[in-house]
Amino acid sequence: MTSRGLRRYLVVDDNQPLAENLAEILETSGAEVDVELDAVAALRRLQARRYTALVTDMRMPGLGGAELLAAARQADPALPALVVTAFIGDADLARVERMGVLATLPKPVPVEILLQRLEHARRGAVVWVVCGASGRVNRVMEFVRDRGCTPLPFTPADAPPPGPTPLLAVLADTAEDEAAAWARAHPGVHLIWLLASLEALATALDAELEKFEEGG
Amino acid sequence: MNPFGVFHELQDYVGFGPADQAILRALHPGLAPDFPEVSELFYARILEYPPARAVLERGESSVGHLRHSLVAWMEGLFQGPWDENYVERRARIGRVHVRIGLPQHYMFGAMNLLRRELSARVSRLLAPESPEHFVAQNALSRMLDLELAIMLQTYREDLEAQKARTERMATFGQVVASIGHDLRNPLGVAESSVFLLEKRVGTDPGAKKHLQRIAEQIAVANGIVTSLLDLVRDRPMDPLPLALSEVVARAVDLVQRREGVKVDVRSLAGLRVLGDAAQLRQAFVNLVQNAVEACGETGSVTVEARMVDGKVEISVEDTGHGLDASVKARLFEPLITTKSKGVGLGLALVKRIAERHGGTIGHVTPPTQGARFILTLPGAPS
Repeated sequence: MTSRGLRRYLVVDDNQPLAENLAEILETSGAEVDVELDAVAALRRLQARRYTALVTDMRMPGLGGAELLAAARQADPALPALVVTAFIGDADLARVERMGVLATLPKPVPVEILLQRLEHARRGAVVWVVCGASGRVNRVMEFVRDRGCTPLPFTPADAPPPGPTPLLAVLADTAEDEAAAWARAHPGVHLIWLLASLEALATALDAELEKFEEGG
Repeated sequence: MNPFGVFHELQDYVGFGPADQAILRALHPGLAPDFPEVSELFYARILEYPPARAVLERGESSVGHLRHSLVAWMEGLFQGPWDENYVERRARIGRVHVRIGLPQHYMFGAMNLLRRELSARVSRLLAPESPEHFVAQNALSRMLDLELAIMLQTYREDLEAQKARTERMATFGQVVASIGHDLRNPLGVAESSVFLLEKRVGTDPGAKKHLQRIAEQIAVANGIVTSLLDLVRDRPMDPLPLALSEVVARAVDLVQRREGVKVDVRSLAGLRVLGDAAQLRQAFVNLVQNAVEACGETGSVTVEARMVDGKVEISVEDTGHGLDASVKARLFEPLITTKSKGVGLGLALVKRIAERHGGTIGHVTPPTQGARFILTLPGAPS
């Protein structure tokens, strides 16, 4: 049901023609797609079955995309999600980024990126991105997303977010003593301390993904 | 009320009349030889006070020029005529103060210094206990209060006008943002429908051609919406040290040009700027695209750069026909264009991007006939 079997997506957008077009595009790629025009109906679907990924609009009457994602993760914590929006720069986008998304894409939707991100989406493949006040957090997140994983960003001072056990925790741009303290506080988490290049992260993440595939 | 109205009202209020004017004129010959010295003292005091000095350095004139202007100002103070032209000349000073961002309270400090210096010199000219000394000090004091009032009045008027302009732009921004976002949904539907149709249209070349056109026009419309939205909102910046040569090379790649137009990129090696790669690429695309289009069928565009005081100065020059004087003055305002198909957002956007980076964009007329734009950006250590 997860990464290589039948892929099943739920597309949620109050703009019916757009929702249907996105569904048709995804169906052309061989996936099975359900469409809902509002978040409440979408939640009922999410409680009834498991999807490979959720594709949702942000601004909708009633519940918006951010509220939908929060509720969806209650129902299905392993669910990857991708957001499309006409409002890049919305405050709510920062909120969904913190909840973990595969991408936030603008409208008109760049179809190739949408297909590529969903194709690689892996349920439950979460990577914690633990960054202080860092300029690299965005690049680490993109790196993680390129591999179909969902990055969850937070700072060393925050409590880790709920959800599946992460494949990895990437500690970027953190002082040595702070990194060591964080590691002691979170035993059992596979930790990568990212100093300079992203290569170490690539190697570790690929190895974890291989184990993950075998296990799942 | 205009500054002249304020001036009149205050003249009545403080009782500044023909008698005072006569006294000021009478003081002039005795005081005039000291004006250069007073002016000297005035600017020496500003220069030794760092915050005031900083404002002065932001200004448009050299200190030498300003010292000269202050002497002329004192000449006017004692000679009049204190008419509408006089007030208009004085009003200009208040406007300059708004433009260079001088805080209002500095005007009081500056006026206090002038009052002290001029008053001390009046006391040297006239016997301190004499009635002439008393009325002369009174006339001087009234006149300086009037000067301060004009300055503050114009300062306030200009500040309010500036605020109104900012508010108008904010309203414009909200309208633009709302329309822009609303357009993205229908564009999104049209674009995804084209994507689906492209797979189905088969081999009919006519159908393919028209689908291609629809796709292109959607991209053009979306580009306009994106530029408009970029102009009115503060896109979050992701500033990093960037190799200038890479940013420029990627931008040049994106620019479409005729075969007869050559783009020559020089002396960028080793230069690094601190900035957001996507936004800077956009700025260079806009500058180089304009330059290439200005060349017409044949010509060349030169991009070169150098370090100046820790900043990187990049010049984009073309061999086109140059700019009209009428266009030059409003070059970086939105919706100003000389192209038949342009909407006039390119340079306005370059300006926004430059400002977000703490840089500047300007136009200079090169010795040749074309146009030259100079973008300065903060440098980054290599």
